[in-house]
Amino acid sequence: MKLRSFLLLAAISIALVHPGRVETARRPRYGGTLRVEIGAVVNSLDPVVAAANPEESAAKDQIGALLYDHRNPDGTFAGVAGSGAFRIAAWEPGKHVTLAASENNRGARAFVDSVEIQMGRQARDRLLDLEVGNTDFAQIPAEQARSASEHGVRVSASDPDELVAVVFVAGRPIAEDAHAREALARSIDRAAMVNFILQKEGQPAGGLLPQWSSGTAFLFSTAADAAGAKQLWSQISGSPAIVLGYDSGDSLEQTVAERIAVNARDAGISITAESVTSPGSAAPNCDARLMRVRMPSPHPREALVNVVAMLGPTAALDVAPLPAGVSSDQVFARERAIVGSYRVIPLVWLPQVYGLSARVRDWNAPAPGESWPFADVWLEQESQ
Amino acid sequence: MRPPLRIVPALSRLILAVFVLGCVARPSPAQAPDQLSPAWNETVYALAEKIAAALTPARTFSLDVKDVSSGATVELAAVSQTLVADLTPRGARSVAPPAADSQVLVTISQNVDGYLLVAEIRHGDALQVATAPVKGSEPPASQPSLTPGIQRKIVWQQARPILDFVIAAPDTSHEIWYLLEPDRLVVFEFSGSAEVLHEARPISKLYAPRDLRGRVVLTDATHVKVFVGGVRCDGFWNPSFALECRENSDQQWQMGTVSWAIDPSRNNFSGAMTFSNSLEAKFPTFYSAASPSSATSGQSTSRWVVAGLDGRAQLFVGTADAVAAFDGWGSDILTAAPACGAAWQVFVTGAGDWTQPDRIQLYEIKDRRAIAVGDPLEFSGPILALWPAEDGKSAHVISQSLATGQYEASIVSATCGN
Repeated sequence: MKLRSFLLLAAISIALVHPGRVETARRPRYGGTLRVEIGAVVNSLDPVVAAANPEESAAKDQIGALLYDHRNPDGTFAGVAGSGAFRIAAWEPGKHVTLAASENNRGARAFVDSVEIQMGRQARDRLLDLEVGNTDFAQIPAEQARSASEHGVRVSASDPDELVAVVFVAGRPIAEDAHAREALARSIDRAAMVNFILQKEGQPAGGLLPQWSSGTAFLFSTAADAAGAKQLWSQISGSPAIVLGYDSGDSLEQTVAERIAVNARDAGISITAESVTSPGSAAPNCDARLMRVRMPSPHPREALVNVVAMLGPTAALDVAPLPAGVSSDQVFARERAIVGSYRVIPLVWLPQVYGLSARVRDWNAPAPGESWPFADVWLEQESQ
Repeated sequence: MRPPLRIVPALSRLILAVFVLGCVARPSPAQAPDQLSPAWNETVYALAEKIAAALTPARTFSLDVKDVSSGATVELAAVSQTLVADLTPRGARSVAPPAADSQVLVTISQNVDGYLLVAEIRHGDALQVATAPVKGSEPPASQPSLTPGIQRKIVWQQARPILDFVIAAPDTSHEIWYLLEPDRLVVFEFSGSAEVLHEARPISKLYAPRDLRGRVVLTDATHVKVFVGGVRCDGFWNPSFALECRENSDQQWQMGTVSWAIDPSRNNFSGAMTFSNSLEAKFPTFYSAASPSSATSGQSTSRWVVAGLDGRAQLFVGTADAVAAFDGWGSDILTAAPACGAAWQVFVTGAGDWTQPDRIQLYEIKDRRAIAVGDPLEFSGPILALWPAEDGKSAHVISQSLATGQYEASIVSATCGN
C-alpha cells in the first residue's frame, strides 16, 4: 500500500504589512472587475443598428471587439455576441454595460472576471474619477494628458496616430486657388500648436503619415513661413477670404481653428473660423474644414489609403488605387503629391491617451487598428 | 519576419554566445567603416542603384549621411564609403559640395517595419527622393559586462512564443533541441553547426489559459516529457520522433523528483506537491517554488519558498505557517546551484509586469532572511518562464525583448567572481 502522509501547511496568510498598499507580482493574476468610463453614449450593441455619431460608432466598435471573436473582411463583426473574450452580463442602453469573461473563449479566458463600462461620462468627470480611484480606465483628450499626469493620474499614450488637418473643400473658388492654399499652409505655426494647445502631447505634422510609421515624415517641412505666405497671398487678385469650419462639439478643433486664424492673419490672410454643428453636415459656407483621421493600421500604405478615402471626397484627391505590395518609394510619392497640392494641410499628430488606475497591469496601448486589450490586462490585488 | 536564430552550435557557440555577467545591456560597437553587415550592404546597394538613376545626367555628386533613427548600429562612414563604392562603377563621381552637380543626403531612418535608408537627391531646384528598407536588420545585441554574479547565455531567438526548451546531446557530435511552443513541440537536430532535422509535432490543448505555461523535461537522450496546461505528452525516437499526448488526469507536473499540481485553467499551481517518497505537502497556491535540495534529493519537505498569487514570497520551514515573507519578488523563483559557498541561493525575477524590462536577482536565504547577492542580471523585456535546466544546476529562461518582440531562450547560472 502506498505510504502516504500529509504535511499540511496552512492556507496562505494575506496579512499585509502596509494597509492600502498595492501588491506586485509579475505573472498575471485572475479575477476582479475592470471599471471603465467612456464619453460616448451607446444606445444599441446590435451591429446592424447604425450609430448616431462617430463617437458612438467608435465606442460601439470597441465594445464589439470584446464581444465577438472575429470580423468579416469588411470590418463588421462575425458570429454571435459572446463568442469573443466577453459576453454581455448586464445592459442598460445608453448608460452602462457589464461584460463577463467567457470561460470557453477560443483565445483563452480573460484575466479579469468582468468589465463594467459607464457611458456618457464627460472628460472632466472621467479625469476626476481617475484621480480619486473610482475608475480603472478612461480615455483622456490628448491636450489634457499633461494636466492629468500632474494631478497624479497614471497616463499611457500611444504612438501619435490621429491626424488633424485642414482640408480644402473642392469646388469652392478660394480652394481652387493654389496660391491661397499654399499661403495658408505656410502661415501655420505647428510647433506652437503642439507646445501650447496640446501641451506637447503630440507632434507637428508635415506629411500624411507619422515618422514612426513611414520613416519619411522628416522630409516634409513643418516650419512656419509667414513671409512666404504673405508673398503668395499678395499674388491673389480681388479680396479673397477663407472660411474655415470646425466641429462645434470639439473643443480641440475650435482652439486649433482659432490658432490658425491668428497665424493666417499675421501673414495677411483674411480668414474666419466658423463652427459647424455636425461633422457630417454639408457646411456650404466653408472653404476649408478641420478634420481628424485616425490611422486604421500602423503600415504606411494602409494608413495612406485610409487618409485618401476619408479626406478625398472633400478635397477631390487623386483616388488612384495604391495596391498592396507597393514600395516605400511609391507610398512616399503619393503622399508627397497630395501634400504638395496643398489641398490637405497636415497640422498635428495626436496620440491616443489613456488614464489608468495603479492596479491595472500588463497594459499596452493599442496600436492603430487594435482594440482595447481588456482581455489581456489583469488587476493587482488591493490590500485591505 | 526574421527566421528563428539559433545562436550556439559547436565552435560558433564560443564566438556568438552572449554572456551577460550581472547586468546592463549596451549597444554593440559600431561596424568598422569597411564592415557593413550583409543586410545593410544589400540596402546600400539597392539605394545606390536608385541614386545613380536619379543622378543621370549629372555625373558628380556630394554626399552627406545622417542618422535620425533610434539605435541603428551602423557607422555613418561605412554607409558613406559603401555608397560611394557602389556609385563609382556606375559612372558617378563623388566630389566636394561646391563642385558637385547634385547633392545627395542619405538619412538612416526608421519606420514601423524597421530601418529605412532615405536619399534626397537635389539637382538645382529639383528634388528626388529614393528609399530602401533594411531587411532583416538586427536589433542591438547585448554585450559582456564585467559585473560578477549571474551569467546569461542567449541560445535562441524567434518570433513565435516559447514556453520552455531543452537540449539533449546523444553523442559528442549531435545535439537535439526541443522547443516547446504553445501548440507544438519543435525539434531540431544539429550535427556540429549544421541543421540536419527540423520537425514539429502538434500539441492539442484541453485548456488554454491566456498565460499558458509549459515545461519540457528531458528523460534521457531520446525521450522527453511535455507538460502544457492540462495536457501531458511523451516524446520519443523510434526511429523518427513521435509525440503522444493525453489529458494529464492528475495534473501533476514533474519538477525534478518532486511533482507540482497545476491548475489547468489558470497559470498557477494549486499548492499541492508530491515528493518521491510519496510524501505530500500542501502550500498556498503559487506561481513557482524553490527548495534547497528538491532538485537533487527530492526528499526535502522542510524548507520551501513559494511565490504566491498575492505577490509575496513566503518561507516555510517544516511548519504550517510561513516563518518569513519576502516582498518585492516576482512570480518566478528557482533554486540556483551555488557557485560560491554552500548556502541556499535562489534566482528571483523582478516585480514589474510584462510591459517592463525585467531582472534576475540572486538571493541567499539564511536565518529566515533573504539577502541579495551581487548585481541583478538585467533583461530588456519580461521574463516569461524560469525553469530548471537539465543539468540540475542552471536555469532555462524565456524572455521577450520589448525592443524587438522576439522571444529569447537563455541559459542562466550563478557565477563566482569574474
